[in-house]
Amino acid sequence: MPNTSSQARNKISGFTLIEIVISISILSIILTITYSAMTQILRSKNLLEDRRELNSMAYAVLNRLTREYQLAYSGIGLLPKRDDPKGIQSPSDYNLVGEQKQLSNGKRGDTIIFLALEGGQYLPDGGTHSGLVQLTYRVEEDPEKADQMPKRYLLIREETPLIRPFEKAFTKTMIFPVVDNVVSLRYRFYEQEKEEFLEEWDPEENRKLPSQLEVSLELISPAGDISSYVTTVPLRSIN
Amino acid sequence: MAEKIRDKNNNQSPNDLGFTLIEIAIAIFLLATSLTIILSLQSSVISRSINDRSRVQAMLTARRILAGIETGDTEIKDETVVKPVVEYLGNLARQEDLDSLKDMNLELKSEPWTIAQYEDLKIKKITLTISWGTAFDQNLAIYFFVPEEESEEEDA
Repeated sequence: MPNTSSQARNKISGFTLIEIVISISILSIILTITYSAMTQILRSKNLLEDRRELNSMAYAVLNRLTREYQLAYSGIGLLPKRDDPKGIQSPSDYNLVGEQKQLSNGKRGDTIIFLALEGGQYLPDGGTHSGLVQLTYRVEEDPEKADQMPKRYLLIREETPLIRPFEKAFTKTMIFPVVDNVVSLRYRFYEQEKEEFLEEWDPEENRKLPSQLEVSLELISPAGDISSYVTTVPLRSIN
Repeated sequence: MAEKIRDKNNNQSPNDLGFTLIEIAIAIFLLATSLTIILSLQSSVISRSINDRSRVQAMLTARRILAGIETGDTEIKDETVVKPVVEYLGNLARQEDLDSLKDMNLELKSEPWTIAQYEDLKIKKITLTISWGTAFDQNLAIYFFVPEEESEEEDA
């Protein structure tokens, strides 16, 4: 008789091994599900932040480029080449050069040269180059990210004020990168008479400015996600 | 024997009965509600981010379309055009650049417009709406005014 009662008390006072095993396994299943859900959420949060950063970077860069392309001026010819500052200025209807360039990743990193009216950037001492400046945008290897794959490039902006003599102008050239993490940059130029976009703009054949400039920019996010952004800028030629 | 019966009675006291159906139902309901809230928060963040991305693409595409209209390179008639963006840009765009735009549709409407007091001025009002879904926040509308004769002058 006492035996039975102690057995009954035992049953009430604790859990059996089976119960504990079941409860632990249920707990571990719940924990596993929660953990995987949390890591999933964390991963997508990182991915979204990565993409958002890329998007806002692309938007800021394209806004800046759009603003400067729209300042392109067609009344005066381009400066002589930088390595030949004693050379002569181009004829007055040589206003824009758009050259294709192949990057080491096999994609294009085109160069564009044009004169911009009041396109001057703020200088380190606070002022700006007034009047006309010649702007060059080119894509260069990023020395800081040389070992990263896929390759990342810099978009470099070069500004030279239009002052004479040209040797003096080139001593005032200001060079700095506008954006890093560039994968490719391509331009197309709308030729109004042919009614089509050209892949290159050579002032020997195409005088003045194209009426539209199409920009295709590919950027890569820190996590390696590549996005492409394409826009078109209307330009104005002086007759 | 009497003790045994008392034990049995004790076992059946309400505290030892386990959960009632109501309790389990409430617990499951609470669990489901909280899970739904967490998951829907998560998915709303994701869809908002996708929406932001589409909005940037739509804005850039709108600029592309308006650039042609502004320079007079694209002729525009007084009518409403409803088309997929890919079809509108057609052979004007590079083929590989069109992939990211294939879910976008546009409505391009051009109508004569007058401003009170300046009724002699001939103006066109152009409304460009680009949509990438049917929800209320999945479209972008841009209004743009061009002088009626300007495009003809530029062509000449």
